[in-house]
Amino acid sequence: MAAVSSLPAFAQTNDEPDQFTPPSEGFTEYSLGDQMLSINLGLMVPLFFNWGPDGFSRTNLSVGGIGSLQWGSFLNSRVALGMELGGTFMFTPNGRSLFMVPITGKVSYFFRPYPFEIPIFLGAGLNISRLDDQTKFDPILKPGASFYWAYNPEWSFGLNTVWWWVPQFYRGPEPPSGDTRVGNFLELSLSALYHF
Amino acid sequence: MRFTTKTPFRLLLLLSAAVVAMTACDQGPVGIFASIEREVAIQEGNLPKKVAVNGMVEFDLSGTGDDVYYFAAVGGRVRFRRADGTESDWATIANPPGYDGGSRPTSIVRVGDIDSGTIYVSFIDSEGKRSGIFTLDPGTRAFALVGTESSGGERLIQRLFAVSDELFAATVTPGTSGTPTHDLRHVALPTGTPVSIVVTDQSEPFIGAATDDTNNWFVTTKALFENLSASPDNSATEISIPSEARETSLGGIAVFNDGVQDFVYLSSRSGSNVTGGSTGRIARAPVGDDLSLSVSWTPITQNDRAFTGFGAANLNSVSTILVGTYRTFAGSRSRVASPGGFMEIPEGTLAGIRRPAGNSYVAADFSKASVFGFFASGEPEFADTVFVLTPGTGLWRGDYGGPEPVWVWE
Repeated sequence: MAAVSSLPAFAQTNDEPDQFTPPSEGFTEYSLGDQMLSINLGLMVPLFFNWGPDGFSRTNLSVGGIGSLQWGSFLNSRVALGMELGGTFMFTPNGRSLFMVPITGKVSYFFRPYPFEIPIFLGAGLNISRLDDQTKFDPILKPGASFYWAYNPEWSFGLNTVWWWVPQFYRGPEPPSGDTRVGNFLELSLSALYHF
Repeated sequence: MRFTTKTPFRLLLLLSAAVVAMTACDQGPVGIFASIEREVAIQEGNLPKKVAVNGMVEFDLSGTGDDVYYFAAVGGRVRFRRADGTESDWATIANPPGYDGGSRPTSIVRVGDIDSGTIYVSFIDSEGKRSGIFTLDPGTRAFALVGTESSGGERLIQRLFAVSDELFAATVTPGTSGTPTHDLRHVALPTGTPVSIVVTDQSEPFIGAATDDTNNWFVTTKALFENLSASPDNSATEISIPSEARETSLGGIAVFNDGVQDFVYLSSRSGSNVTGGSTGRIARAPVGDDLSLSVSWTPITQNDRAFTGFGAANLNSVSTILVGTYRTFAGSRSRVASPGGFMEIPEGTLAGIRRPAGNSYVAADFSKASVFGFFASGEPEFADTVFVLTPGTGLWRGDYGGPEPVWVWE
């Protein structure tokens, strides 16, 4: 009786149906120490090699896969510093696997036209390449941009587009200096970003 | 672990450090990106790929040079095809009765000329109890037993050697104490009897033979035996090889003329087991010199690979010795000790030893696997072609007629 009689009273004080309350217009401002974690999975597209005797050349590689983990921390509401550990694989004409594991530091600048976030960034660090039993440590630069949709204040989902620039230097005699090349690859990946 | 704001960074840092720590830097002979850029797809034939190849011969059916066939012991069967490539697929010959299933041809050699000689094939059955030598008629592809078979696991025929138009068989018998003994036997032709023992009671298998058509040399992984023409009973004398000319274990032996004179070439490796090793040595001594004396031998500098057996071919008009290598690893397989593949020694000049050129070689599986033997046709029409025989990566053909060798997985 008491439960039934309470229903009309409840209906009188709240006429609005339940609904999802969206985030307030505009994002919460980031500040020093705010952090983010992202996981990225997608495709690696080999573009071209250059610095060889023929200049620009085809890579001879297949489209491959890429995955990475990234951590970042905001310095202010726009700029973040972070670190990324990734891995990619691609195949040669004879089925050999080229693995690359970049370990990079990263600086990002965020554009935030609500409800989207568009960071542009530059990563730099060390790339470990492996083909059969050959391993090589090279520098790497990773300029790129992402496009995120903010699902809620914590989670964003989006796309990454990143250029991998990997100069591979050899001084000789084995491997010869003429085998120096710069590898150019394009990462296209889906991303889930968590702010905390 | 308490999750703090610094935890993700520390975890990522730890993961990165682990990746770097577990990665040994081994650059190899060619640049990674450069080798991929130049890589061409390896063509493949119809032979089984991941099998052992235990020998190869050629035979001219018509005697005119127009009907030359290759015969190879690949996997558990002998297979054949035309040498001129008009039929690129290999056909299979059924094993002799009693040698089906897991039985295998352990060796194939030809005694005599390419158009009039005789092909001999040794078999061991699937249980390792029965073994025999058979002739193979190249026209009818029929096997016929030579002499008598061995049974009960005794005198299993591991390899045949055709030197100086004679047939020798390397046999193994399990010892009563479990230690096998290895013998080298001379097989009288054409009937296969008598079979006389040339060298007996060795602890290691016979792995190679060479001849200058007058004298013969045989090697186990430990010892060198000399069978001089002056020995009427076919006995062979062990030669103590000076330490300057060898490593722990022997790999193979060859006789090669460098354009001036005949030399005996000897390969060796640092491993003390039946297989393996991380370094090796090749030495040569003039035929006729006392091989037990240090002064007779000219060694090359120790090389960073464990050498196996020899071959010879005429490649781009240059007489070239070929020597195989093992693929071995150091420690817990984190580092390649001996890379595999083979080396070329143009004109037998030891200072000129080199890795085969070309990106096709780098891309070929056998360049990163052990190589035990070679075959090159004696017919001028098929010069610039060499076959590589492997213990587990099948049969490979190298065509040296172009700017760089092109390799095909038969």
